[in-house]
Amino acid sequence: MRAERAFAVLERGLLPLLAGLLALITAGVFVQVVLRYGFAMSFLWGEESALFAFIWCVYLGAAICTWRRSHFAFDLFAGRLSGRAAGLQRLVVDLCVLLVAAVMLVQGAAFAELSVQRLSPALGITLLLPTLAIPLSGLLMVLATLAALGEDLRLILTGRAG
Amino acid sequence: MHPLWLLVGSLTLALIAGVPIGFALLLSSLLVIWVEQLPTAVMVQQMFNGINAFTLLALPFFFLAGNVMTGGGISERLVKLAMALVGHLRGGLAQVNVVVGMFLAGVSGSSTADAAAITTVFAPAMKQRGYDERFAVCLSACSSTMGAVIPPSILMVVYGATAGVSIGALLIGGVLPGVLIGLALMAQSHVFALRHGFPREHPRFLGLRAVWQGLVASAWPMGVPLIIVVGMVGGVFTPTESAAVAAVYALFVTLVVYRSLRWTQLPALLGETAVQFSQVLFCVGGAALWGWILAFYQVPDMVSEFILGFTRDWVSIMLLIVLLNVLLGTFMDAIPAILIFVPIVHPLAVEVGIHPVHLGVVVVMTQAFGLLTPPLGMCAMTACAVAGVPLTRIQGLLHVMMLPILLICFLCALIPWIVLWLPRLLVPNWV
Repeated sequence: MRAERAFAVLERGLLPLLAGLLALITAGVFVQVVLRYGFAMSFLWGEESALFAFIWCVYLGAAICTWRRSHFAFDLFAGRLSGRAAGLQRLVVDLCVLLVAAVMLVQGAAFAELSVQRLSPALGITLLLPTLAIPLSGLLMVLATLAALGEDLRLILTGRAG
Repeated sequence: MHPLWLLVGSLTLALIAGVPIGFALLLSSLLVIWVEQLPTAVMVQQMFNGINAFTLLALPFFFLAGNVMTGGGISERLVKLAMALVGHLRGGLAQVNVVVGMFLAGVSGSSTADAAAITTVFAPAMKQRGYDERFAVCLSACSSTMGAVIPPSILMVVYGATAGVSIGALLIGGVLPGVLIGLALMAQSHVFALRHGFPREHPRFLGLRAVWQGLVASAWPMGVPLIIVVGMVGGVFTPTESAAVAAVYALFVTLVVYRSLRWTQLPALLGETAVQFSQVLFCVGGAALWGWILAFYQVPDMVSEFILGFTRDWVSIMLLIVLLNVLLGTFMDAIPAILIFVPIVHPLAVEVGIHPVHLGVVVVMTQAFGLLTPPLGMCAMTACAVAGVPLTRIQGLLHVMMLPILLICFLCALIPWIVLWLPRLLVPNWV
């Protein structure tokens, strides 16, 4: 339960960040259009910063979906299993998610490290900035899934949700 | 054992077990990567490159414009115009339902959002006017499928990004088929109205003055489809830019003109919109890796070769693709179905001379139809949830009422002209 509260606090911090990023995406592309037609100026870094903000939005949002359990899935068993069986099904799902999230964290960190030296074409900043989104998202997903695994085990052992 | 069996087998098992689709795509690809000793780094590269595309930026904007507009009570304003246009017909309110569905499809890019908006307005109103509640819910669900076909459309963007087809041409190609679906639903409503004696809303046509007043009332929201289509057709905007302009316009209309959205609500709306599209795009990232594995083992070529061994006739192949899509759409949500299925059939269809834009619009249409079919019809489920009617109560009627949409799907599949005429006329460079 304490973990759940921690994620709720985390989400309250992340949602305004996502809102800001989406505002940045919108402004980036919109300003590019306005400058092109209004002032005949090209503004390529509007497009690039929008794209970077977009990548962050996607992977941070995906992390939120992980602890909300709101990722797209087939709910073949939804409402059909109860108690221990439901716990077992969730355990299988969470272990699969954990494996993928761990690879995102480890390989993502390596990928981000390789990107430090590479520079983006328009802004000329290090590609560490956009690539860091994946390992960070992986980390959040690992933490969320570990907390969920505890719940799953309790459900399997006691047949009741904590 | 060919690694392909591992890929497809593990994906199927993971999906059945309830592993979220994005994770299931990544997991099955990872298993192949490990067994075949390919570099694991590919996963993150593909997850990054898969969404690092300017064309995909249209998605957040379509989600944003749709959320802002449908949240701002736009459907009520559209009702006035639709009422002036078709309210005098027999079964007037049913006709208005379909016409509002068509207008709303031009404002929002998501069928499920439309399903909620249409059902909220029409299920109670139609019940009050003596319509069978089941008919009202079924019709609202059917009307909402146009949302995925008429631009803006989230499915078209996902399709275009997956198959590498011009998103602008796909969006324009969806206009005529979408309108045809609307006309088919109106014809069906007319038949129902005659058989069940549904009432008219006015004794006769209210006149052009009423239509004008309706146009004035709905002028602001109808600017959204205008910006998107005219912006692209005039060569003024790319599809992504037109989506961004439409999103800013939608914000302007609801925040400044109508004041139906307050500035204080904006951060929460933006945040939830971001979570919403990240759900979709996480799957797109996973599908990028899955598609990479498929391409690595030349699976699309294998499938093409296998099927072309039987026939090279484009009509047979098209019918096969439509049937497969209907089947897939029954058990899968539209976006994963497109992400998984399109990389395999796209090369096959192009090989026998089917135009990529024609194929894209037809696949999106059949997937939109799949939004009605139980057990996983998101539009039908949304309409039922909003109206508070169990899905089992409407299923029988729904199976009948969705047939006109299927008919239009087949019509568009067999007559490429319906899809290709408008893009060839308006945006010849993209087709």
